[in-house]
Amino acid sequence: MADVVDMAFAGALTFSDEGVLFVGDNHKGAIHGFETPGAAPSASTVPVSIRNIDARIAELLGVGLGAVEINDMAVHPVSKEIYISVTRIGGFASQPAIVRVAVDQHLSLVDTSSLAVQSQVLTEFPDGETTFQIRGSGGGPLPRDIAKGAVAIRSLAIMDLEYHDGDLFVAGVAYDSFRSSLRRISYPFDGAQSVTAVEMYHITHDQYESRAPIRAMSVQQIDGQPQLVAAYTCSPLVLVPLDELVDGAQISARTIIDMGNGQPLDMVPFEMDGEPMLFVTNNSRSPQVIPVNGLSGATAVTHEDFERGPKLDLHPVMPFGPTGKPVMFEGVPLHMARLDDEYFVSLTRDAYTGDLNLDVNPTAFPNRIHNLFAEMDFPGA
Amino acid sequence: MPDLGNPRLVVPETVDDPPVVRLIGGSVSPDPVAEDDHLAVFVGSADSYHARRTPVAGRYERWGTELRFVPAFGFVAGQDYVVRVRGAAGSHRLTALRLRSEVSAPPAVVTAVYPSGDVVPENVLRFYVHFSVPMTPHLASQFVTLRTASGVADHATFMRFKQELWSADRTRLTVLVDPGRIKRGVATNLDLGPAFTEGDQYVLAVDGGWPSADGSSQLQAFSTRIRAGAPLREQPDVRRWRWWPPRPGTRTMLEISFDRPFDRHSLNGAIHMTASDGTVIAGTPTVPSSETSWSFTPDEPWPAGEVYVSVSDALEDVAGNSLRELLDQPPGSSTSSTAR
Repeated sequence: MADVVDMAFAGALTFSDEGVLFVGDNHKGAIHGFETPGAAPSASTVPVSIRNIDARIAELLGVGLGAVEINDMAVHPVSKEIYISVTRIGGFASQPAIVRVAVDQHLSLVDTSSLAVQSQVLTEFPDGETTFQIRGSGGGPLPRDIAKGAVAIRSLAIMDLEYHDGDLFVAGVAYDSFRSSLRRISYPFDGAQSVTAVEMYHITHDQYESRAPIRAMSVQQIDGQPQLVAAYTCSPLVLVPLDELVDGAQISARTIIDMGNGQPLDMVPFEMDGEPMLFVTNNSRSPQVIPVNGLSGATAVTHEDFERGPKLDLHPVMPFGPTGKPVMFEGVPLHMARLDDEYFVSLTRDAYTGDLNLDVNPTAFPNRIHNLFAEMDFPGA
Repeated sequence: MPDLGNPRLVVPETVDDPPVVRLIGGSVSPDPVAEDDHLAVFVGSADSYHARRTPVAGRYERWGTELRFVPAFGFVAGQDYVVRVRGAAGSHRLTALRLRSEVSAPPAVVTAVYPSGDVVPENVLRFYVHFSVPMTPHLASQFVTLRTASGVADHATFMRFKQELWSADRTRLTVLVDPGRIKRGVATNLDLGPAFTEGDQYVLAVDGGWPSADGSSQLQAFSTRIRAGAPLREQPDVRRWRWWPPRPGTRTMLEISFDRPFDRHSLNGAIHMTASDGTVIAGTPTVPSSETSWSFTPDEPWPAGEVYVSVSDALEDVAGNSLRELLDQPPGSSTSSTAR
């Protein structure tokens, strides 16, 4: 039986193939599934491009620019409308909001009260009191490092959502010793959920890690079975066969790639020349285009495969594994999703203006040349 | 377009008003698509309005000839909004909407300065400036100045610390007179002379415009006249304190007259009353103006028998002399000596 829970936070988003919008609610410790109708757009739509989308969202929600936080973005599989989860801060309170960008670029607030909804409360959810430890680099913690000590661990309790074949997969931190966990919940929600603790070998750090959560993930067919491809901070990629996700199990993920320091943001499947690919964005590195076929037969590594000791960005073994290639992406792609076969949609912090822009980017590379002034931009070239 | 007549607009004014914008009278098109063309609310002032602004999300309700707009999240106090109403011939009328907050922050003013007496000894060590609201730090040296009676500012009077001396809630600033100006025979004392000279008049000024910590208010200018009196070169002497014993069985206030003005904050918790059986007598102490006396009203009637007054030897007078030691030894004297 599904619970009835009012949404208190709109965080991670993903859609089912039929258009159910799943919303991670880190405040209530729940996943809400909204039935979100949408009709296929006419073929003649202009790719969306909205400058200063955060200012537009703030206007829509009736607050100043500093009073909105954008949490995630997803594309409706049928209507191709873009859904953005937002926190609105005003009058000493924060409220969740979901904003829809229509194909004609019109912004509207999604009236979630008018949508059929099912909620699933998550077990073993972290409390809201425990915060991160303070850690500095080099000469000790700076004020910006100390501020991390005020961040609740619960903010990482729901990191990413992935819907596959009737199951919703939820990555994040579970309460018990703050362990990295993968939840598997069948939809429609029937109260059944499994929580699996995930440990993995982290090449860069040269240690086995069980706390830091998966940041981004995608289910792909690898070595003849459906496997979760999952990216962690600083930045290993691991494989988890779906049949290992059993309630109460503690599993060791298979580490096959380490891209080096940085924090993955999104993992977006797409196709290039008919081949399945993953587009993995990062807050501090170029996005990586990883051929999915290259992950089949990849060697899973442990500490026995390397000399002991940390292996940071400049170490000869880095980057490790079938990483694919880094590609040019101008600006910081804070949120990324696939719009259709031709385009990714991104919320991108412009490298020059700092504007936060919603725009589309072809699924071919290089794909953002508007700020580049190269030989070919000159008349006659 | 239908004739809209001359509709009346009613907007909320305070956070207690229902967050509803009402357009009363005039005939409103029945076409629901056009509702936000008749009436819409935008973030920002009327000056900053332009047609590409995104209207605030909300729902429309019709009550007869009235069109109502209810914002999805209410309005935020202090945020500028503008209401756009379609007038005749498609023109737009803009009306400002800004909710007053229930509690407006009190203005920033200086509420007290200690020592509070008109006369301070010429070797006064510190001043306390109390503010009505928390203040922005790191600006004290720009705003707090000592001036002579003729208006000449002495910018070297007070110590300049990297870390200003604020109370935890940043409503009390401690301003320390440079001890080098006070201590006789040290370099700054010889170069610049003492900051205060007995018999002269001064003005302690806190200039206006100092922003409060939350930026919502700017300090009103404040100044107080001070006359420098004889220096305090001897340690405080409790034998010269005077009081009149209250009658047992009454709650009469006990007042102790000091031999000199004491540091206002050093007085906090420095004096206790104890009954002959050793129990501390609970009550309310007060420090009358000029800090030259201290009074105490017991919660219960005074007990019979002897009452002891105990004074912390850390208590300092306004020149920083405690019951333990003098701040400033006469030039040529040996190392610090303690009288007790």
